[in-house]
Amino acid sequence: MKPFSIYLAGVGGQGVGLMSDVLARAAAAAGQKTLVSDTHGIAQRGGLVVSHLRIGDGFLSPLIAPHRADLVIALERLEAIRGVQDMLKQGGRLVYCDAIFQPASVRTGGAAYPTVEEVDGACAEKNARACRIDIDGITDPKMYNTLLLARLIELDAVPGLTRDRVLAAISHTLPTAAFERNKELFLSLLHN
Amino acid sequence: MSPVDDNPFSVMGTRDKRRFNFMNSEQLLSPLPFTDTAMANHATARAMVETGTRVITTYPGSPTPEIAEILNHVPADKRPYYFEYSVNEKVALELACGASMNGHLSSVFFKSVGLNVAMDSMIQLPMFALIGGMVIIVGDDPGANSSQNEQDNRHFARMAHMPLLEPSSPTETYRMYLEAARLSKVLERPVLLRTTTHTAHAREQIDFGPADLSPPDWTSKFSLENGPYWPIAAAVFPLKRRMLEKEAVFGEAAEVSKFNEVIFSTAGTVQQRGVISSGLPTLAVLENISHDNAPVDVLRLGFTHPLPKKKITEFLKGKTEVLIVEELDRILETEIKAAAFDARISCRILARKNPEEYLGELTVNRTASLLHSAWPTLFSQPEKPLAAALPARLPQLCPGCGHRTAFFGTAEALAKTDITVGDIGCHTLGALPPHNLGQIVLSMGHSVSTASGLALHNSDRGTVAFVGDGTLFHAGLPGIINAAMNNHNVTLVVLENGTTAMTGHQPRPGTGEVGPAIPLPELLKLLGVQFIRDVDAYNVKGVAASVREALDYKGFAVVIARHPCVLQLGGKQKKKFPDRKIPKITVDQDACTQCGICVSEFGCPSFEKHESGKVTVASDVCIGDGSCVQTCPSSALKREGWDQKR
Repeated sequence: MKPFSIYLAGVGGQGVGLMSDVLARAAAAAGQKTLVSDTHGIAQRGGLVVSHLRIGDGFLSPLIAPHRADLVIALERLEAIRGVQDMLKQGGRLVYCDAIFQPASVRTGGAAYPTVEEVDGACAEKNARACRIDIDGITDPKMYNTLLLARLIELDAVPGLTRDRVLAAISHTLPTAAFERNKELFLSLLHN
Repeated sequence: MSPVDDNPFSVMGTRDKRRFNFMNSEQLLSPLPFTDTAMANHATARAMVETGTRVITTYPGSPTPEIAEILNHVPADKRPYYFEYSVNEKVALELACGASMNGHLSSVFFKSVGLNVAMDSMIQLPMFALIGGMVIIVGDDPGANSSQNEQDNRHFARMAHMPLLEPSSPTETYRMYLEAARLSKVLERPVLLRTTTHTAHAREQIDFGPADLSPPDWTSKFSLENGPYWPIAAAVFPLKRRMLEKEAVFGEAAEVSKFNEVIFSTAGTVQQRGVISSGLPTLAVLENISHDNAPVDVLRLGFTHPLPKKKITEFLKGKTEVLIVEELDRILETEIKAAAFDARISCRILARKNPEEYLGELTVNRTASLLHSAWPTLFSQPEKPLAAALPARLPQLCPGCGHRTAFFGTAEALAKTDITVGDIGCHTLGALPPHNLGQIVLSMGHSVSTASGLALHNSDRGTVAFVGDGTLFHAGLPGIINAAMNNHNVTLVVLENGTTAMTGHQPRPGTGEVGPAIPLPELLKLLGVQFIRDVDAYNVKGVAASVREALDYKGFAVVIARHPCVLQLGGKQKKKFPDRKIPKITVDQDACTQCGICVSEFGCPSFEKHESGKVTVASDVCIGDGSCVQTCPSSALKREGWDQKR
């Protein structure tokens, strides 16, 4: 399999690390070599949390160089556009949940929060495909990961990522009750 | 084929409560070898078990706390090791040293600046026979991702004459611990294993070995025959002589170490050009060479003090040009140039030149820049990151944090000219907007003393220092004793949340969680503090009044603003009452004047400010504490379950 780099971004507490773990495990189940690097520490207090995931042979650094990520996955709109600008390669793909978490610089500092059009514009500049996931009607923000995983499979966005491998990875990662809820949502999304 | 059964990750087939990004007890203590994806820090814990490390101590600090999480997760009666969160890094190191002197393999780990705290004793260790062996792990932070500097602790190995290993990957971390433990036991000297943030937190598949879990031998083996252990004045010299002899033996080990190897760009061919590097940057170099298909060999160094001079000069002799790719300070560069000079090698040695290149983490991109500058025909120009026109996302205090109301209340009591000093912990975030308090920080526990200096002959400006309760026990006590003793005109606000929060809620001394409870007001009184106020941190008016009183008081005054950490409390309550409903906080839009105080001055992340000026509460962020309600001058904030009069 050709090497593949995924850059994940979100706000501290959204579950970026969890999502990255699931994707890494699913890739390993496909027999792929994986290398992951997460943010830990101070960034988790509502700050930016990112994960670099590299699948396949031939990579050595756990950190993706700017403009070399094949896929940017974001759990929040501001981090989606930031990920596209800083990390996405020309012709890459963005998949994001359109959740909004205003940073302090917007709330108290008057900085402007990006619009969906601006996200599309950033993707256009890189000749990249954008896939926005509407989160209206999703009451539990912990479900965003599941929404993203279902969409990634529908789009065939990650080589080797299949429904069964994702289910196996989630089952390893979540306690039973949470797994059942997510599995239900995940399967229902794939059937729609 | 059942997806779950076929999962290569369910090696042990067990369901531990914490399975996300974790190594459960069954894996950690597996007597059999196994393969699994693991974070470098988790792999380190496994290496400790495999080598029979018997005493392990630490003080929490990024990027190392995940090692402790794995070790601490095992029930105490199942551990083949003794594990302790010590009060600070100096204590942790001394404990590990004592255990090693007694014949037990020990390990201590902490973050980069934690070494500074431990240094007074740590620098002594290579003089003594640590008969059990000892591995010291330090987690440096190039790029200062979560630290107050980016100090290069490779210098310390030179200063202390201590051997140094630097991993670049999780697999290397694991293997280097095994080797460090072995060498340390054989030579009866400590070995320093220095990792960095993005190495420590990387995850990959590792082949783990077996572990001997027969009951540990706790026989006390200390003997003065292994001494002397007393290094005062003239007694230093025989100890130092022996230390230098041991250092030379470590140097011989470095020359033959598998962690120092040449990676040829084409097997069987020696290239004209080469790179020498160590640690994580080596991976960036290799990735760039692969990306640009460049004919450049790499001497990858992992056992880096003493440097394998023979291996290095051999590498240099075969080349016309060698680039030293190094992160932070110019240690490899200067030592390699000196070795080349002594050996009269004519190879041209290239290194960083631009002062900007000595700052920050050496990422794949910056490495590409260095390679391109050295050899523009071989390496492509790296793409420049776009100028960020996007709003920053800085860390902030959690919704409901007691520090927020404490800062808000303190601000009410301060004059514009008053000086505030901060410390290290979650409360450091008070320096950011909207609070902007405590914008002077040096190190753990410094605040009361730095404030004491600022308060000297300074009668017209109030001086307020902040410190968290965890940090107080780590390093704040001597400064408090000094301030009380000399009656410095400082107000110390102790932000008490009952835990060591920022690093992951490790227990702090005196809560009663581990050992006896130590009530802070009583402790402070015994230490000679004459003015003590104790208020609920959620009570803004109470905090403001206490700080005002403290500022008026001539001499050392302490205000304890106390409230349990809501992140920790929330986690506990969720387990106890899983169906508990969070009370809703809403903005009464008729009463709201859109003054913006809640959003811009109080600054809870639950508030959302819309373009129209309207403010709403994000119900998925808000935890329903209601500490914001008192801050609204129009009483427009409403909490479910509280009457209008609040």
